[in-house]
Amino acid sequence: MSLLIGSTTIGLILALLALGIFISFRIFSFPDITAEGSFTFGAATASSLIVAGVNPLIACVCAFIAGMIAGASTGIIHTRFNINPLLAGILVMTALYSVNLHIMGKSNIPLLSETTVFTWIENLSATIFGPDDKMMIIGWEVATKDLCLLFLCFLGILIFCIIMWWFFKTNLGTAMRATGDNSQMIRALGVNTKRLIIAGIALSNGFIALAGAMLAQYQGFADVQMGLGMMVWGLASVIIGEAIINDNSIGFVIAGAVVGSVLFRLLVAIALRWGLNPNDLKIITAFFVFIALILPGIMKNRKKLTFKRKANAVN
Amino acid sequence: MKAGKIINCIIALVFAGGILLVSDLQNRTGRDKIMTGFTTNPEYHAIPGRTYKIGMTYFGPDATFDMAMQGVWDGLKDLGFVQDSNLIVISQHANGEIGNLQPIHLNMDNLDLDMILVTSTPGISAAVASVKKHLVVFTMTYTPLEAGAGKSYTDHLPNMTGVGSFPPVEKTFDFIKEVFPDAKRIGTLYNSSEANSIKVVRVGRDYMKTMGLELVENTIVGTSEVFQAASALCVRNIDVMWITGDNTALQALHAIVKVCRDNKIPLILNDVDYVKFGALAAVGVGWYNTGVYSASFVARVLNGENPANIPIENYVEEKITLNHDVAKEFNIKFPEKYLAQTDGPKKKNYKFCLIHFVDSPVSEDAEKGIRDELRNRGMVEGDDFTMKIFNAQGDISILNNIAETVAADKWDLVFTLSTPTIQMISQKISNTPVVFSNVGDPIRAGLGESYENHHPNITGISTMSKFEDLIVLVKETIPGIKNIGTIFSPGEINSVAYKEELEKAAIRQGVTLTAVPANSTNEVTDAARVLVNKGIKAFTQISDNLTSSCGPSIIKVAYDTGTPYFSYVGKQIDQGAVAVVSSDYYYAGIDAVVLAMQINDGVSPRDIPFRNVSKSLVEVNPDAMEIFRLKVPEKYYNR
Repeated sequence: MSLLIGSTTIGLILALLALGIFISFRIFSFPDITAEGSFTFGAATASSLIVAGVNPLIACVCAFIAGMIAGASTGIIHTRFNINPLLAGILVMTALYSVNLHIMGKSNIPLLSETTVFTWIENLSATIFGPDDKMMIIGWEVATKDLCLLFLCFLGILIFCIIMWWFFKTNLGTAMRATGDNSQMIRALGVNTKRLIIAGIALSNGFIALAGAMLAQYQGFADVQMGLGMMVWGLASVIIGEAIINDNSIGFVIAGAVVGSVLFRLLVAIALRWGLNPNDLKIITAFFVFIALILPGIMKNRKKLTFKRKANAVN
Repeated sequence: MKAGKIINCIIALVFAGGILLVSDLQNRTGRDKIMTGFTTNPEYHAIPGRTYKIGMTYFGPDATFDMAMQGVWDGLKDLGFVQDSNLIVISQHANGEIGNLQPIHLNMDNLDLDMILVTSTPGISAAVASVKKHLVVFTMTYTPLEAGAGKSYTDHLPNMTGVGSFPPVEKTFDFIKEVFPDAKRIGTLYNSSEANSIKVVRVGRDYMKTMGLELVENTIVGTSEVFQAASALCVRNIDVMWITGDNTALQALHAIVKVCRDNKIPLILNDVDYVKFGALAAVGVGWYNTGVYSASFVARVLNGENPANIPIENYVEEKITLNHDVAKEFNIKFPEKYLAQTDGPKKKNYKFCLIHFVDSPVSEDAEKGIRDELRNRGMVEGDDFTMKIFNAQGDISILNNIAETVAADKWDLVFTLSTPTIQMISQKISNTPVVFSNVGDPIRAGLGESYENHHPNITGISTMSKFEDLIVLVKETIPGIKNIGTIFSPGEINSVAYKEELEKAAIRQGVTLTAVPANSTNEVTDAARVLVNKGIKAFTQISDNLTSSCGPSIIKVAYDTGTPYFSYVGKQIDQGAVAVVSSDYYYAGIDAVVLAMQINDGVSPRDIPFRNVSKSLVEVNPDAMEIFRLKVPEKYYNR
């Protein structure tokens, strides 16, 4: 049970990453590789500030801004210097590696004894329910603080989703979506797409950096290599979410990214829990993702078939 | 249609969650523990925010007491009373002598406490006499009434209640009769001032008469008389020795075991936890569950219920434990029916878990060290322990998942083999002992303030190399050398720490270290060439994940440019290094097991300081020496 709760919590934290990837890849159709750098960038910024004694919430905000700066750089390199988006992302990501090492001063910052957002949540739970309070959920013993954490993460993500949903319904947000869907059309309407791309990629990387900052606090340290592979997992989450939700309206797609992220973490947890050969972990996760992707399609086809059969029967 | 999509999502999540829960079924609590039902009663639960302070007295440190107390603490924990958190326990013991019990209870009575938890029958007698101001809950006793706790289970002293566990005496003699059909005379010794022993012996004596057995008794007053009394019994032609839960006799059980062995007399007990000390068998009480059962009494009294209104209860979980080693020695065969229903004092099957962060030679070496040392200590995988391996394959998000998975399961001990892994695990696991290895600088990783003062459930091995040793070797091999170089990986905290230490060592030895960073495998070759261009006269390569994986490519550059290659990675001696001084990761694994075994023996990780890897290995490669026309001083060959 605690595994389910823990994995869901990680899934919710990394949903921020999925949301960020969703903005760049889906809304702007911009293959943005900056993610791997800005994820660590957020973690590095937040951790360094926290160690320096800054309020963790402010540190998170700073991480978000740091991510936006990184994203804006990618956007500017792409739009102003006409550099291929992939290449622009690679440039910024590579540069960020050094920047991160400079920010942290070393390759790994422990936060084990620092006050983080999660320490607050634990303290909050301790004052409400008492320290080390346990609950029984259908036979499983669960620490109340873990439940508290899960609930607040869920709440946080919900708020982010609502804000995002609202934002992409505004004129600016709609223009952004249009930039990705049909940039010629929106340019013809007199919108400066370059600015929108810069803003959008900045926003995307802001989310990704925030995800990094939160994960660093959750796991208790920031490591300069922690961004490795993140973009792939984020993208996988987004695509799984899309496959399941199968709807183009903005609200559903946002929800899909979150669901995809949580589902993905659950799949990894299942693969781990079954105790397979550790060397096979990645191939198993790849297989799970594959199944998650094709399953909705198969189900839809079957529905269509039965529908057709019914139609034939009527005829 | 829209609703259908939401349902799709929910089905997917519930399905995945369900699979996870099903895989997690065996971790539901209460599987091994008795379900007393009291955990669900909210009136028994601790009041949040309140701190409870209880006193605890016992006869002397022994195995039975530990078992019973483990049960009490586990039971209390389920009710929200957590030791060192909202439950403060002050304990005192009588050093195994009845005479000391009175003073410690008098002392307890004068402390500021919410209640006193009393164990053992003589303990209750002392509490009856001395504890006037405080409430008392007792457990781990055969006969509370005989100790003076009251006239009956409902009519007892107003400030006392608790749990009695009268041993299955009749079963014990049935057992003796079945295993030794020819036995006629049963010997026993007990302290005549222990009410529990008197009662049990009386019940035993009466029952024996009906079976045609004869009880030969000797009484003792203190532990010092045990040896003599046992020897005296043996001369009186007894066939079997029976020792009941007499606190004095059990304190000196080793003396009885010795006498019985010497005289070839089988020893039967009533306390299952003592069988492993050399008795043949025990028919007795499972004290752990008695402890769990007693927890509800403690909780009720702590929550303000009047002990006068809580009846004393008798709770016995009968348990038979056989010692097959002793049986072999005496050439005794137990009847089939006992073999089936009992659990011998079998060796514990340890459940270990080992977490890698990334596949690398240093990690694999350490794992090999751990496995080999476990084997050297006679532990067979599958029989004595299981080892579950996790590997995050370099992905931090997977490592998070692994940490959750490990935290959700129960382990006897967790090994970790990298800095990020132990950092993450230290965040997630606080109850299970954790032993780390392959961490360059545990203090810098945030695991503690010093090697002695660290996280209470964590200890481990630092793999900081002996940097100066290799520099000295290089200086003696290449006289007048001024410039040495290494590649380091800025992304690995170990690598950076090693580089800094190497720099310091180089300064002390008066040579200049040139360090060039490399972040990925394809940069390593270039970095090596840069080093040569910068005019280094020898490589002194530190060990980290990146360069130990790419060792051959650096060595190739070294051979191409005629720059001798020395390193801190043991394996590279076969790959062409002239000499290596390795703080061997294989030995780091062995050292980790040494710490793990201390923990298994009952030492708290809190009390085990971090240690540096014990062995640093010097190895020399004669072929490489010839190629580079170098001569490593002979004194290094023999080490």
